[in-house]
Amino acid sequence: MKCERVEELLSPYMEDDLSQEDRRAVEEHLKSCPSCSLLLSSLKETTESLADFPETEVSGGLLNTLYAIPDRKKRFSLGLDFFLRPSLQPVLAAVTIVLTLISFYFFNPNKKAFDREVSRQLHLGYSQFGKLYAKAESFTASLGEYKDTILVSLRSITGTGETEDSTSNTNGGIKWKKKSSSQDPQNLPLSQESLPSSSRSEWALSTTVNP
Amino acid sequence: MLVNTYSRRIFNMAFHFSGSYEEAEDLTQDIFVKLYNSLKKFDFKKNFTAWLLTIAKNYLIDEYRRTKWEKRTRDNFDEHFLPSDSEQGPEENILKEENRRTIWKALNILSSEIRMTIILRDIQGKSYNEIAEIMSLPEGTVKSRINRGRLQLTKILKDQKEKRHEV
Repeated sequence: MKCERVEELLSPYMEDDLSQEDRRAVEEHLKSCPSCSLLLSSLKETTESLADFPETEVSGGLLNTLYAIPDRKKRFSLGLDFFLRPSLQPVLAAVTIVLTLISFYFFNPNKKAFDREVSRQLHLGYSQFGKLYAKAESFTASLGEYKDTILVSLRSITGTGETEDSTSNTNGGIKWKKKSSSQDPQNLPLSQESLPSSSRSEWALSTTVNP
Repeated sequence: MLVNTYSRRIFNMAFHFSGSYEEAEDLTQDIFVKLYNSLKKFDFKKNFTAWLLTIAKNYLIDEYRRTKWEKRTRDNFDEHFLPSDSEQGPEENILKEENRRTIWKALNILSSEIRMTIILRDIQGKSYNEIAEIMSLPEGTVKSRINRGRLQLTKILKDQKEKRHEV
């Protein structure tokens, strides 16, 4: 048996953990090899030295710290449990998103340019809104102007007689025919010219040109 | 109860592994915090001591890899260990103390895994079966690691002996 192989078997030999055959082979080798014999005696000293390391006492300070760990953990976990409740998770997610967006704003290198753009857009929005409001006001005023005319027209529609009165009113070669109304257009409170285009709805536009 | 029963064992495991008393105190605290956090996960069919020592072993080896303890020196042996009472003569006692000092220092040259198996087997006196459970390794691997570790330590001791003889 070679020294390398005996080296591998010395530990189990020492602990009596070898087969009869291996044990005999190791013993024979040890008789003829002083180096391996010295190694075996050193191995025994090593294990004796290791077994002789006494256990060190734990200091009082460390013990007190160890005793305090469960209380410390409980206190910490109580506070943490509140935030870890499943019902709070969407809220925490929303808060995280908001904080992330805020951080994008605050840590943006072009923060000033961004601010300027936002205020410009806001002013643009205000002026657009002002214009829209003014338009709406003028539309309401014009509606007030034509109120009477519209009412008269409505009254004439709901009036009696459905005959095809062909009373006409010529205007620049274009003939206006009053449909389904027996009333003479001459008797209308307003002349045809004074009617705005919108109130002419009741007049069918005839494209026959006067010779 | 947990502290009373296991603090000494965990502390000594950390101390022998790291070689520093202060470091061992910090490590013991960390291991107990980890232990309290993991208590809910304990499977009651398993051996509690082995489970606890596995947590300690994992933490110590992870910390060792993270912080590279091997570059640090171990505490002075005489600071923490008293001379052992022996019935042998004073000369033998001196030699024994010298051996213990050498082995204490030499533990630093072992890799973390081998150092841990040596501590469990030769310092804490655990069986191969228990060590295999703690280290989550087959018994054969544990035996070969212990053999390798012992030989590494022994060669250092043998070199020192030879130097002494030359002197």
